[in-house]
Parts: sequence; C-alpha cells; structure tokens
Amino acid sequence: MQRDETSDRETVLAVSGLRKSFPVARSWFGRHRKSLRAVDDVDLSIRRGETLGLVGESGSGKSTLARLCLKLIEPTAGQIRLFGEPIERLSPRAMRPLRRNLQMVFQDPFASLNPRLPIGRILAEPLRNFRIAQGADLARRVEALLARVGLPADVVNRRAHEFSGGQRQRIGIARALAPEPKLIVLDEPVSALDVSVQAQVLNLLSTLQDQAGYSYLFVSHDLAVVRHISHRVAVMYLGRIVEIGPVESIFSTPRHPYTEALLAAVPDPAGRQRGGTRRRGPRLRGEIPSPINPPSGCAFRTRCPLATQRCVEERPALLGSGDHAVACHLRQA
Amino acid sequence: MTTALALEEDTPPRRRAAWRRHPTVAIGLIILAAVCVMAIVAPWLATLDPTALSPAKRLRPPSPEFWFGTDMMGRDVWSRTVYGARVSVITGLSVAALATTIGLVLGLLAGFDRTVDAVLMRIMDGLMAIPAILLAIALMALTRASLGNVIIAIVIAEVPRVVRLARGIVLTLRDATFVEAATASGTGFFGVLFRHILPNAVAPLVVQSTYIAASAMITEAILSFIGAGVPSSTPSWGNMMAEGRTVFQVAPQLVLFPGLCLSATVLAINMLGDGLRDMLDPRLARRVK
Repeated sequence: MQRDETSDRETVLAVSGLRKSFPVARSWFGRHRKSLRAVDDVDLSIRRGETLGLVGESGSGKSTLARLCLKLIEPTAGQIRLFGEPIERLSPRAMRPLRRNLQMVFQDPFASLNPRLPIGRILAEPLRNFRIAQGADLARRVEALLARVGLPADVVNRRAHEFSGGQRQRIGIARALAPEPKLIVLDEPVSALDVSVQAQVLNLLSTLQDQAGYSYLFVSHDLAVVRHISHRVAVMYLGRIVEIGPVESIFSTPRHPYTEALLAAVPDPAGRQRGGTRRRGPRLRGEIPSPINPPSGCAFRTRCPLATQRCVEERPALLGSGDHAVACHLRQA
Repeated sequence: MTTALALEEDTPPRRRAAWRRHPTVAIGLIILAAVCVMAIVAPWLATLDPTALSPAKRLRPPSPEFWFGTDMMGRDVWSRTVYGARVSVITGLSVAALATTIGLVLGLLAGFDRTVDAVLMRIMDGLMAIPAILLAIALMALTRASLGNVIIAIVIAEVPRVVRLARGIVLTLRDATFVEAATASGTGFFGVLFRHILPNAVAPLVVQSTYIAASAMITEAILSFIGAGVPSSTPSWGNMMAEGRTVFQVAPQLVLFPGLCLSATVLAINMLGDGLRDMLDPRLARRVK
C-alpha cells in the first residue's frame, strides 16, 4: 500500500488520511452544519526528482489537495510529512522556515504577482524571507533567477502588467525557484497560456528538473500535458484518489472506469486517421456529484456504467499490486 | 532596505509623463493649492478685519474699497470669504485624514477578524442608516459649536463609508493569489499586511478620501448654514451664505462669492480624486514612449 512509502528516505512529501471539509451552511446557533468535503481521505507521496501528475475534473479537489500539501490551507484531519517529519500541526509561524522546501506556481500568473511591486522586489521577497541573500548579492541572485527562466536582467524594474502571460508564468516559476525548494507544487501552471507558450513553459520545467532535481506535484486537467511531464499520475474524483500509478501504466492500461472514461474523452485525431477505432471505455455522462452530498460507497458509482450493489454499500479502498493502485471493487482482481 | 537593488518605485521621466496624461489632477491641484494658500495667508490677503462692524456702510455692492461688497452689518465680504477658506480647508483636510485613517484601521480589523467584523459592521450599518447630515446635526446638538466639534461630528458621519470600503478591499486582497504566493514565499502576517495588502488598499482609499474632503466641506457649510456649525463669530462660507440668504435679492454678492468659492474648491477636489484614481492604477499608468 501507499502508506509504506512514508518511511522511504527518498520521499520528499507524504500525506496520509488527508481530509479537508469546508463549512457551507450554518444555522444561527451554529447547529445543522453542512460541510463540503473537498479532499476526502487521501494518501499520496512524492519522491525526490519525480513529477506526480494530479488529474481530475473541475471540482474534484485537485487544487485544494495541492494547497493542503503546502499548508496554505489547514487540513481538517490527516498527516502531512515533510522528509518524514509531521508538519500538519505546525503553526503558520513555525511553518515559515520550512516553506523554503515547498514552493508553488499558480494557475493565473497575473493574479499571483502583486501589481504594485516591480518584478525584482517580488523575486527578492523569498530570498530575503529565507535569509538567502542581502545587499548586492540579492541583486545578483535576482538576475540569476531571471536568467534561469529565460528573462533578461533589465526587467527587474517592471511590473506584472508589462509582461505577456508566458513571461508572467516564468516570473512565477522564478519566484518558486528562489529558495531552491525540494518540491514545487504546480497548480495548472500552463492552463492559462497559449498552446505554443504552454510547450515552452513545460520544457522549461523539465529542464529545471533535470538540472536541479526538483520534485513536482503537477496539477492539471489536461491529460496530454500530464502525460508529457509526469512520471506518475494520480486520478482524483470527488476529493478521493481513484487510481494512481506510473504514467505509462495509467495511460496504456487504465483500471478504474473513471480513468478509462477520462482517457476516452480525449480527442485522438491521429488514431482516427490511422483507421483505428475510438479508444475503448465508457463515455462520461452527467456532472460530478456535489461534494456536499457525496454518494455512498464508491463516489463514482452514480456515473459508472459498471456499478453494482456493492459499490453503493461499500467504499472501495485504494489497493493494487506494485506501483499501480486502484479504488474499484470490480477491478481489484 | 532594498536600496542595493536600485528598485525605485517610479523613475522621474515616467512621473512627468503621468502629470501630462492627467490634466485633471493638475487643474484640481492648482485650484486646491490656491485655496490653501488663501487660507494660510488670510491675514495678509484680507483688506479689513473680517469681524469689524461698520453699520453705516452695510450692503454695499462690490467697489474698490470693498472688493466683494459688504454684508448687512457692514463687514467686508472679501475679507470674510478669505478667512472662510480656513474653516473649509481645515474641515476638509482633517475630516479626510481622520475618517480615512480610522476607517482603514477598523476596516482592517473587520477584514481579519470575524467576530470584530460581525459587531463592527452592524454598528456601521446602524450609523449608515442615518443620513450623514442628520447624524452630524444630532451630534452638534449634543455639544457646543466649535470647529473641533464640527470635525468630530462629520468624521463620525463619514467613517462608516470608509470602513465598508476598507473592509471590502481587505477581504478581496486577503484572498488574492499574490497574497497566497507571498505566504508560500515565507512572508509573515505583517509582511503580507504592509507589503501586499496596504499598498494595494491605499490607492482606492486615497481616492475615497478626496470625495470625503469634498463632502465634509459641504456638510460643514450646511451645518453652519443652519446654525449648527462653527460659531457665528468665525466666518465660514456656510454661515456667510446663511446670513446673506435673507437679503439675497438686494445683495446677491453675500451668497454668490462664498458659494462660488465652495463650489470651485469641491470641484477641484473631485477632479483631483478622479485623476488620482486613474493615476494610481498601475495597469492604467502605462509608460509613454
């Protein structure tokens, strides 16, 4: 099972039993509270130098899980271990020095840059916070960061609105690189960019990983992008991980009906031209159910063509042989 | 702290370009500066003592001796108008500064603490349910007429609007992605507050404060007009208009000159506010090449 990996020395970050619920309705007296389970009992680990792709539909809890890993939001329950040390109970203040190891790149590169600060000041912020550089050294470091993401040094005095989307995301990446982190969480880092720019940014991320051995948690709903960049892939549905495994294995032999459906939903013009048939797999119908009232048993059963009585009654565990695990009663032979 | 990086907020050529691109700010500032100068050097500008009575020369039309004529007690309207600028300028500036500062502090508290928010905003809602003028009149009824009390009354009447604005800004900025990014970069609460939240909150509040200054001047004039403002021994544009109102048809200058001054000043402040709003938006302040 996945939990065994928490003791692995090569593991950078491991979470287990992680939950996050948001209160959505509260009566005047604080009773009858309903809550939304954005992340529901997730186990996950990220090894050194590895890219873990996290895919799922909108509302599946991908971004929430990403922020939980960095403690940008507090988990409701569960464990987060950074190099084996539990960090889930640390106060924001105690967490601050550890943030040096954990950085994030955001989906909207414009919103993630303070519109009033020149780029140089934005990049200097983590360097100063983690006491990495001061004075003249600071300016050199900022220039070196810009060079690493392919931007000229003379942009330090410009502000975010003076850059293109791709350049802004490069600045966002430079900021994440600043403290030389071990893990970078990338929350849909290319989904706001043009396709040609997407490729540039993805290549930059790959190059940086080869150079410095960063681990990436790469959140995306774009399967082609995830396939391109990931070593392992986790598929999320309604706050749970339904399948996890090496990228080739997930894309060639998906085991969860949801993964099959996701892959079948990807247009495959090349395959059609070769006269091949459509990828086999069920078509997804309907919408993802509300996480306020999740279905009993298996979360996917309401949309699953194979669902049985057991799927209604019993929640499937994430089990598997080797690296490839799946949470489905029917596919755990 | 950041001097080594040579990261100035704005380079000089850029600033000059901004002035040319915002003529409303320039015009507003010039008029406002003129009024402020008038208030400061009133003793030298005034030709006569603004409170000196000369019943024999009342209700004179404008003449070389009395530039703006005289009122029904023979006081020089020019000198009184010049001195009246003091009341308006002091009221406008102090109310704007006080209301904005208090409003920002309360807005920050409300934006960061749910309990404070719940209590404070209900109080502010209550204050806002009463028209600002009525509230100021009620407060003035409780105290004696003085410039200080007028300012306090208007500040209390104006603060709820600032609190609302500041709270809204803080709530938006608190959840902004760049604030989250700063937290991820290891910035602590006060760093986030002073480097990311306050600088982005200041621009809209500065703009709002100009409107407050304008509205405070009008409120002061109204209070003085109905006799609830500054004591009648101190000339203010409000009480001058109030006194001139009864003889308006014989001596229109009694209402005309203070009224013109008040309108021009308020207009100038509003122009300044409009221009500042455009100027302080980093997205609009493009560089002129």
